[in-house]
Amino acid sequence: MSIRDALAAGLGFRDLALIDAHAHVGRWGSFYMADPSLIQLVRELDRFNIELCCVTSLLAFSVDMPRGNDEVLEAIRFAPDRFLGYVSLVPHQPLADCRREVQRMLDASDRIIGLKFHPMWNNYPINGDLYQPLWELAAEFCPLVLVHCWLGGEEPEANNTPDKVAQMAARYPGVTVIMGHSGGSRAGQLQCAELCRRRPNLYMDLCGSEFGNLWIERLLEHAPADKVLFATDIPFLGAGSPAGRVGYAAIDDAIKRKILRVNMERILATCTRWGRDRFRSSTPLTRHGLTSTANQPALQMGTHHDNPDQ
Amino acid sequence: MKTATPKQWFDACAMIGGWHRTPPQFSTTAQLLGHMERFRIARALVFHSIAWMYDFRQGNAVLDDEIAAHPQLVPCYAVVPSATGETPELEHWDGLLRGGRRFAFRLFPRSHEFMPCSPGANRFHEFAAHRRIPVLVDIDEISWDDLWTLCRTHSLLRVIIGNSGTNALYGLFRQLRRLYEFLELFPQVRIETSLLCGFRNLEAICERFGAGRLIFGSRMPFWEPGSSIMRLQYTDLDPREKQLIAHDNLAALLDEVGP
Ligand SMILES: [Zn+2]
Repeated sequence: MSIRDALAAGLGFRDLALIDAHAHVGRWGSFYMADPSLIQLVRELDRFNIELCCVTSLLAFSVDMPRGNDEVLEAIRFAPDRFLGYVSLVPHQPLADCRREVQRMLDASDRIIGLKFHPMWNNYPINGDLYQPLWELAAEFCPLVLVHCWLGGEEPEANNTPDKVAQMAARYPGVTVIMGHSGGSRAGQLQCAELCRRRPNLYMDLCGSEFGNLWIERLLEHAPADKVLFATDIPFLGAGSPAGRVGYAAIDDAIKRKILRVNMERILATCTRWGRDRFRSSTPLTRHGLTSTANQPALQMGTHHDNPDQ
Repeated sequence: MKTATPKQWFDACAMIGGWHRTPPQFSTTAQLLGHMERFRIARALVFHSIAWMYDFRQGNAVLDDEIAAHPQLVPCYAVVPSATGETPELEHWDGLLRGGRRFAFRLFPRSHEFMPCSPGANRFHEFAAHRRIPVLVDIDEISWDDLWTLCRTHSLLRVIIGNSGTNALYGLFRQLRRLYEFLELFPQVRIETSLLCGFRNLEAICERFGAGRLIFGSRMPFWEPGSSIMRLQYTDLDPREKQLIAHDNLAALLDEVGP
């Protein structure tokens, strides 16, 4: 049974355990979240068969870095088999504090997988001087960075445009960089797609990207399928939207598996000690019966598209 | 474990027609019907882009032509109730109702630059309220104050609030503090679900106000229906509640439209 047919029949993602590359713990002041407790987060993961959820703290990149990052550790303690954590760093904090924060978090849990930067909220360009040493910390300690990435409209400061994020990925080729929200807007997503083709260490995640009005089928005409990551942004958003966009899309199941799990599994296995231990038995692609087409255009993957609009 | 899936879907928000900016996924009636079939959406309330972005009268006429042969498509007519008298006389709409036609109205006060709570507009809303014709409006098209006045002045008007999603920062999912006030005070107000994509939005609203206040919408061709369908299908609600939101609430509203 295809992924789509199983979903339509109410069977969920029963044959595929998803990995969520970008989610959160905490709250957000400007709007009401209906019970974003850890219990409800795990219920949401169960609903969509999300095995692993990589979270950052909303409080940490808001106004309290250590208290927020502690909430990530709390989530990991609450459901140790479900959550992985990013350390959120704020460029305006003293470098020594950021460095101590990274070491503290890595010492506290082996499930800390990388760093998270939010140049929009912290109102500072991702390629600016204050971020520079934080990228060095990533290169030294945990070479996986998730960056809030958005182009245009709502974020006129342009602190986190895809090209600026890609510039940093080029400067740090040993660091794997995930462009959060795939650049958000439609233009942002098309830029991310193009940049992901060119830069081996660049990836794009899907959470919040529905606001770009670009259906997954059309996004994959531009973006390499090996570079697109499933992500939910819970509890900011719900998991149903990205799960449904990918799950119900008119694309081949092999591509869906890559987006929903395999691509992020490969990143974890490559960039994190936890992932190397966990996934060491074999390479992710061969275990899922897939072959790599990294940096190849999505359309070269075969004639799987049955998009009725083409 | 199997999740109960609604047997039928009735989409409250779909658009056909071209677009003046980067084109969304599709534009034609045939394509809309194709996607409805693919997603097992039995019926849809449809408006035409000409009525939104160019001329509402011409758009409504083109809509009628486009959907004439497709009874599963229900017209959602754009109206501009103002002192200019552009919107057809109330008698015109009564004639349609007497002929057995069922439809809804959509307001675009910002795009069409009119005052949604003027005396002329109020006469129109009064008429729509007494004929039980649902009125759809997106929060990006009306100020919160005007929306409040509209709902308070016309307590019988069946207002369905949505969001066009042109700006993610003002998405409907971020507006529960405001929406709860409307749901609390105005029993005739419903929320269309296409942009209720926040964490546990559907569950929270159902728990507090009941499933009767939510109406499924896909917002095709801008958003893919998989988003809205999945959110409702796999939500933590019982099968009866899901069926109400997916189909029955809107079907019941349109059944009650009449002279
Ligand atoms: Zn986020």
